[in-house]
Amino acid sequence: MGDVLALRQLSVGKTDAELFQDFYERERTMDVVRKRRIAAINLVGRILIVGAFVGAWWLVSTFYPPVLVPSPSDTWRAFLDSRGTIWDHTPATIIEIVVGFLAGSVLGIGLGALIAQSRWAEVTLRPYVVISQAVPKIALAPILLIFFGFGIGPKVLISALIAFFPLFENTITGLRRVDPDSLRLFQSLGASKWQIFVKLRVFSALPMVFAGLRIAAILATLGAIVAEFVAGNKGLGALLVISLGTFSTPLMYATMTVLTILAFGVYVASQWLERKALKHYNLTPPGE
Amino acid sequence: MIQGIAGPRLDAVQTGDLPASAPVTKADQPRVVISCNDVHKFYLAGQRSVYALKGINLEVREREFVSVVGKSGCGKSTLLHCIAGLLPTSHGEISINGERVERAGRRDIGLVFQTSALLRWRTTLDNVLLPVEMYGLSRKELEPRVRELLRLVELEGFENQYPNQLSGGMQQRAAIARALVHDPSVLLMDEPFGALDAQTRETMNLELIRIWEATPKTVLFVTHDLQEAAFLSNRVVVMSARPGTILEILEVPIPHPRTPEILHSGAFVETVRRLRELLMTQRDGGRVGAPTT
Repeated sequence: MGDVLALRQLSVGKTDAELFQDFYERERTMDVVRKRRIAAINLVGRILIVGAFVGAWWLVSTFYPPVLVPSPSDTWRAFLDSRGTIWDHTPATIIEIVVGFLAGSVLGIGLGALIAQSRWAEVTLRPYVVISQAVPKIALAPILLIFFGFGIGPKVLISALIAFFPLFENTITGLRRVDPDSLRLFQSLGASKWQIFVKLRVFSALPMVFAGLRIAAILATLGAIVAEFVAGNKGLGALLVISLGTFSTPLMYATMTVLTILAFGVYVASQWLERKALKHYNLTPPGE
Repeated sequence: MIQGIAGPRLDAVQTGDLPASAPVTKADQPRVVISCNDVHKFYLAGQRSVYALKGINLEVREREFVSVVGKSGCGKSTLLHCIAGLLPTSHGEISINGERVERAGRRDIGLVFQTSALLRWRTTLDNVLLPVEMYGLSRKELEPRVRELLRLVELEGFENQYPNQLSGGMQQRAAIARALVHDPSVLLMDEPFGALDAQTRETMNLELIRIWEATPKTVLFVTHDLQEAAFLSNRVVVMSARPGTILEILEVPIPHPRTPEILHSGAFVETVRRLRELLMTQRDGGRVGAPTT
């Protein structure tokens, strides 16, 4: 009741557009308040879950020797003791993830766009692209490593190949699924295929492409680490194998934790980019 | 009155002389703007071929407001898409302003769809300016006209809002402004208010008739709402389904300007009754006058 009164008082001497703007701002502020409350609840929830997880881990570790299940404190100590080593191995992994992710994304978006736009490309290329994706790329790792050697290149390649597919598929779907009336509108305005592409399809595809990027970020991390597993003397994946060889289980746990944080960071970064870009174009993620 | 800037305005002087409220009568015989000559349209739906339009003959004269009514699936939207050049005809000829329609992209047509088809990532103003952009017209030169149009559709002050911040009715009004921005002589509307609630729809009808009375356009309006058709039109084309044919073309004997009061007039009620009757005769899959005992 008070709200209605307040709104009425505010409304004196304003144009419809101004009133609308007021209303919109109000809704937005309420949204912000609501969102903050949800964020606070979420934070508490997360801390509780992490706490519960570490607690359970610690409990389990009391039943086993550190070489089987090191406790959280063993892991933390191993991390501190070997932080130089971990630090040494991290840049290689980060480079592989980032370059692999970027290369895979560019390739996926590019080839996806080509196939979405050209019937000819679809008929000739798509089956081969799909078959190439059916090849288990993780099993392909040793073959690529034998051929390309043991440097950083083949690891980037494997990471890129794995990151490629979600972007490829999502780009095709995104570019093709446009509102039929919008398409008719552009046709009725005499738009060329290219104009429809840059003024309509690209924007309609953005939410799908960004969803693909998020998945690709995680897959690129997976690809880089698996490649390091198979053959590598550098990188966190290699460090895992090295620590396995020396039975330094606490170091394995520490490395694993660092890897998880790294993958999570990549995911959060791509999610941030997604939010930023979609907001800029007044778009919403698919399914929202 | 909105001044023509883009594209050639045919018979500008003549139309300018016509009072906005003058009903188009046979005696005046204005120029034919849209003509469909024995138009047939087939298309394939999976394994079955659909006879969507059969022998459509229709002439719409300058400044006429003609509605097309019929049950869903009677081909009325198909007909409109054919006239817009969005679909090829299977047989027959369609021309607009004496020029044969071969493909979409004519400048003398403005289109409004059932969905507003506003682009989410553009502000209202940028959406309305889309045709200007596509036709490579000068945005600066057209700005006064765009302002006037936004005033006409009562969206002044909403230029910088995004479509999702507008109500359904406002979105459709923005779509109408967009269809008018390049000053086409023909406005094709495909159930533009079909997705709106009854109340908004009624308001939009009043708005549309006001806009039409203020801008000299030839309008072809597809709808399934008989009241709407009778209220807006000079003539109503009644179509039957499968194959889509014209059952009858009805004159609406109500003068302009049209106000909400005419909704209670005898002529209006009679027109709606007659339209309903015509559509009722063909309820069984398009067979006219199903036998009763």
